[in-house]
Amino acid sequence: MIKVTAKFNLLILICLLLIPSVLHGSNSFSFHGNVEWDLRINKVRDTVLNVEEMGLGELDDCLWCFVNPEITASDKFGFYARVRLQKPLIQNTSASLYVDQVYFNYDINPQISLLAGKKRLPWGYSYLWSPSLILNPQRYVFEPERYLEGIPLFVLGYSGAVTSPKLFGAVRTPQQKEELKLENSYLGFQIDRYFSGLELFLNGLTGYKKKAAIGLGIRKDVLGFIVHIEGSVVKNSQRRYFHDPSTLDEGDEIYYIKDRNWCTVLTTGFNRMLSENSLLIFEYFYDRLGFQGREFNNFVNSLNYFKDKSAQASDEYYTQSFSEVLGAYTPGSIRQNYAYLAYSHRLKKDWNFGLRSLTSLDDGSGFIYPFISFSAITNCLIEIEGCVPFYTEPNSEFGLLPLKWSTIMKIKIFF
Amino acid sequence: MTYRFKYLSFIIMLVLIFPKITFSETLTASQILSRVDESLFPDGLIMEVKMINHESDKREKEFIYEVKAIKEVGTLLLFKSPASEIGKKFLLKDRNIWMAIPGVSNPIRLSIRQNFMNSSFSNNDLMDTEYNDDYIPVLDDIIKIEGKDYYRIICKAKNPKVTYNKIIMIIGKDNFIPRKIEYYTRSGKLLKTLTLLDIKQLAGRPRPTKMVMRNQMEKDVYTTVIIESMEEKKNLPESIFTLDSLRK
Repeated sequence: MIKVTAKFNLLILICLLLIPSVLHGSNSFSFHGNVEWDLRINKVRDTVLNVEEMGLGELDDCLWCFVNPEITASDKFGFYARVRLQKPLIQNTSASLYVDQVYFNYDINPQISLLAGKKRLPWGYSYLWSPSLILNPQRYVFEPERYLEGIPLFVLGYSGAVTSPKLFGAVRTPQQKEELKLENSYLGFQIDRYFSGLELFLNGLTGYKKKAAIGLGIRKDVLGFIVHIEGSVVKNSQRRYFHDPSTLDEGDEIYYIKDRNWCTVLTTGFNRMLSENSLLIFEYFYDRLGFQGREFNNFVNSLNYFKDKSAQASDEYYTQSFSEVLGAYTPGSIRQNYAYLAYSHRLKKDWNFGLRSLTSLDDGSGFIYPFISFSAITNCLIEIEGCVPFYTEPNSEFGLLPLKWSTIMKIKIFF
Repeated sequence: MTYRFKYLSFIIMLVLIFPKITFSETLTASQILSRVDESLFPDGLIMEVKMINHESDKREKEFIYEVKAIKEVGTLLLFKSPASEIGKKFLLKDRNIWMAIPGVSNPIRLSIRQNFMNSSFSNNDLMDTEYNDDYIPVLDDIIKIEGKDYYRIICKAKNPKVTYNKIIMIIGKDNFIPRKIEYYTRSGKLLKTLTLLDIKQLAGRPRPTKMVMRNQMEKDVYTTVIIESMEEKKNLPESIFTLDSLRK
């Protein structure tokens, strides 16, 4: 049985696939993607979050299928989609189908085009975070290229030789929920410019009521270091912070919302070729809204408190509260300061080696994600990966993960 | 007066009978290099290329990609095969290169010295063949190989940003098509050798359709590039050579 998580997405996809058949001049259809089987061995450990809450088992697997149909009808129309099918085999739960992206592009003339559908808005120069564009769903920091869910949008773009300005309208859909509400909608613009080796972009957006943001990015080759700086200021940012649970009575609101007039989000980093076969990437991320010391302590205390309370008495207030606190645990974007490091090296004979590391600079916890891949067979990739959290104390950001280490074997077949 | 007239008539006769010899003898190294640029690729083009990486254990890896280029504007590569590489794009503009991979949010800007798709070519070898822009050429000699005359031109790098410090080219005197190009490091060591073969009619004139790049460090490892088709396109929009086109 297949569980379709977003039925209207599937409907849009089917419609788009049918449109070229009724259009004259339909001239190409391509259908490519990959099938992947992941097997994970997890060494779990006790934290306030147990393995069930994090969806971890000692032995997990999943069969994935990513399909990217592309249809071009005449020279002007193009239809694109990215569909993800997931089926855990060992746990034998039902398969899930996600239409992560589905959109069409229409070239009104050689310079002006219109795009509409569900898509990520590509923008900026950073690798893991995107401070200048706050609309895209946050990347999954452990595997940034795995989930690429888009947002409902339209883009009216001009393609010029030196700059490509765009106007867009988009709806932010946090937590991958389809919330096509007016208060989640934005209108914005993007302008980019390249000259003498320097890349520049500017984007601005304004939302319903008071929300607004402006972002700026720069990228340049400085003595072989490809350096980027990207930042934005967001007007009237809001975020939930948790009260100290020891001060709460049953029924009290567990969180409060801070309004910040102008809030800064920033990334800066570089990539550098260390040799012909090796690449180093470094990135620093700052989010002024991220939890600081007392705010993070309140969050961890709330996790502990509501977990204990909901275990003692199955009161809906405590169960619901625990669920709300757990929902705020987003490793890689919950605190203020992070450092990301990635290194990849091509070894001889189809072997590649690399590692990624993410560290929360606020408490020193993080994880290392080494991998080695083998690609001797055409259209087949075999990868062995590891994920080892490191932490200074159990109640640190990555110390909360109920995982000592994880080993992952991936087999990918491309078609 | 009679003497002068006879002398002038003799010169005109020579020019009419042996036009090629007369003009080519007067070409400077820079002019020869300009003709090399023209002999390899037209100013604007779309071509389909097959690249085969020959590994040391006799295994081969084959890639097919489409190239769109406008001289002095940019070069765009779009991978069509194998399936694992479909959708991968490279853009070269000035001395910068960007790579876009499906699934990765932003195009990554890279060093031009990096190996192209694990081949014996650097990114620059495949994407920028306008040697006159980056090197100062000197006509070293005219040599004979298999009965044909060839120019031997030594090109020295104009600035340290280019991939090679010195390039030696053996260029056909009749068609300005290079027969062999040697690439040297800063220390003067021979690094790579490119051989150009199979001259066929492409985009309105004879051009080499096969290029073999050998890395002198790894004798058994080499890369063959075969131009499957080439079409001259003078009216390609410049907007396709922008980062915006990589993000689409």
